[in-house]
Amino acid sequence: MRNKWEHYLWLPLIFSLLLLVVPQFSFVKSSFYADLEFGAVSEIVSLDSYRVLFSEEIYRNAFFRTLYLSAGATCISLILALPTAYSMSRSGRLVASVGLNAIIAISLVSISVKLLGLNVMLAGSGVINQSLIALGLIDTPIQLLNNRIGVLVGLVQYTLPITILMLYSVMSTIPAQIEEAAHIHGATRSATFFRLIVPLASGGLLNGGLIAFNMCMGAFTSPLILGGGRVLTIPVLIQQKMIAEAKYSVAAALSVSLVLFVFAVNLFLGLAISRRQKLSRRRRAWHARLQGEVT
Amino acid sequence: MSTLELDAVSKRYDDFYAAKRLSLEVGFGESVVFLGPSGCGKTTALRMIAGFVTPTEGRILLDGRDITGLSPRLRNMGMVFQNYALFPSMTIAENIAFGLRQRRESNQAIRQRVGQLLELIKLEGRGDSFCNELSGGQQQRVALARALAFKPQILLMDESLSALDLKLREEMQIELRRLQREMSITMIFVTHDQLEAMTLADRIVVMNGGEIQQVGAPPDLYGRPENEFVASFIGKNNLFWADVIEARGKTSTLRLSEQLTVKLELPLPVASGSRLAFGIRPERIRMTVASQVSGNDGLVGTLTDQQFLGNITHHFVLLGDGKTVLVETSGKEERVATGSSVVLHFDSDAIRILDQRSRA
Repeated sequence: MRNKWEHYLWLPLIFSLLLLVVPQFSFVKSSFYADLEFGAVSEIVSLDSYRVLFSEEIYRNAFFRTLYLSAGATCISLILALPTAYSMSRSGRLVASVGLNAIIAISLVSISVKLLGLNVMLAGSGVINQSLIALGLIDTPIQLLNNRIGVLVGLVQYTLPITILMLYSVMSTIPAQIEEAAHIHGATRSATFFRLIVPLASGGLLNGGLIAFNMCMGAFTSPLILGGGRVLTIPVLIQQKMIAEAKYSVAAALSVSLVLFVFAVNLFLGLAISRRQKLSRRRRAWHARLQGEVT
Repeated sequence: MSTLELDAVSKRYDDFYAAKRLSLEVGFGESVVFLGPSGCGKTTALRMIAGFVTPTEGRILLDGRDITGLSPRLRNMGMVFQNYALFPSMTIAENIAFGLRQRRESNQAIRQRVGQLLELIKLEGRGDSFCNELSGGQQQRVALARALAFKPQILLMDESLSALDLKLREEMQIELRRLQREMSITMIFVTHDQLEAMTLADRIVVMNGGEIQQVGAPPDLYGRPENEFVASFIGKNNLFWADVIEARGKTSTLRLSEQLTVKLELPLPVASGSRLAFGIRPERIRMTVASQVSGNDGLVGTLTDQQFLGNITHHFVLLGDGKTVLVETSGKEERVATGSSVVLHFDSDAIRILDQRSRA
């Protein structure tokens, strides 16, 4: 009989889980005590704060804004990451490891440093607008900051490294022989990529996309700095309600709704993926065996 | 006109030749097998023919057209890979149809051809299954059908049977050879297994060190190897190196080593003073117990070990100079006890004089 001492190693996980979950209870609790004037809260349990969320347009708009900015940034990230990850997985060891290290280094740079950099670049006097003017494509600078464009750029920059890493790990499991087989039997490079590589990487696309989406939904710094406080996403709104307006109950209700929504999206896609995987499990097993024999 | 021609094709990486000045003509409907140990350049040769590797020198011609730098997809060749490389995201029918789809054939033509091929590989009704639901042998047949579907000019096979277990592999060899003959497929097969090569080939190309050693039909290679490498690689052989001390007519006195000098009748005249390499096949040697022999010709030795293999028996005979000779008998001869002193005889036409330096 094997000793079960390994189970004690789970303690750090349980500890960090508690740190995450316990504060949520106080959020959930305070969301049921409606705001009164000047930061005071009612002592009666009610759903008033949630009623406010559903009745006032500003919250509903913020919700959709957060959703489509996140979905948009996720799509752009995936589209940018897909060819990069593919090409990295098909280059030599040296190129791939330099690329991977560069990506990891980039993702370790503090988000505020990166955002301030973007701020400089996207400004009216920034390099992008000035080059466009120099090229004669535009006469006056385009507004790239303090609006949704800026936020979108920020979110893409935020999620791109992790998306590339996720896709790279999937791409590098696809044997090169599969591509050779496609080429010799008449497929062009693009047909090979879209008919074979992309379907084989679809699991990684879903997983990577989901992670990027979750990061975007919870992103606070990008919308705040590049949106200049004018692009109200849920996280920005929570901060405003809490700090500027002292509406603690509404802020709590907003964060509870955000968590539940993101959780539901993950659950739904997770179930869809696992159903898909169940269907193709044997196919994957075969694929893995093939992979083992090749290497 | 030959279907495929290699004209002094080389692949060089810096100072290392993976393949060196390969010249070969392959006729229509011919089955040519590249045979050699790993690293001999046979796979490089195949990959140059397929277009995955670009030769550094030389030309490759297909039906007289130079295809040296042509993209693989435009070469109209089918290929079966070592691990089949079937497309896991597609059904069997889609796999087989792949080449036809890329060639923009009509749906009806594709359906008809896929049906034909499924019948050929005895997988009728399995077209909608995925490849992982098939056994290794079935996957192998699907890979073959995929390679043949668009009627390629040449079928390339890269160690395509080596992932199968022995019994299935032997069945597939015979099946593949029958198919290749019936359909007049021009086939180039790469293998390290000489029995597989003999089963499948009209001609075998023996390679070593990036160079072609000898090209010939299986019986020629076995019976008339040109150099030491071919003599020892194809089948079992006993190789000897000797100095010719005296050559008088057909009979020569040869010094095999410091301790051992013999008089032999050679099939060819040799110059005295020259150095000689020759091979004698184990089944061409007769072994007799020393006490039953009169006269003093033949090689004397001690029977050190015997290996019973069913239809044949291998005997290991230690000569006076420490060299071991392999003798093969078909089991009809009288049994000789291990440890006996024996004398070995062979006819002069059993001696095959070899090109001493293999071309590598």
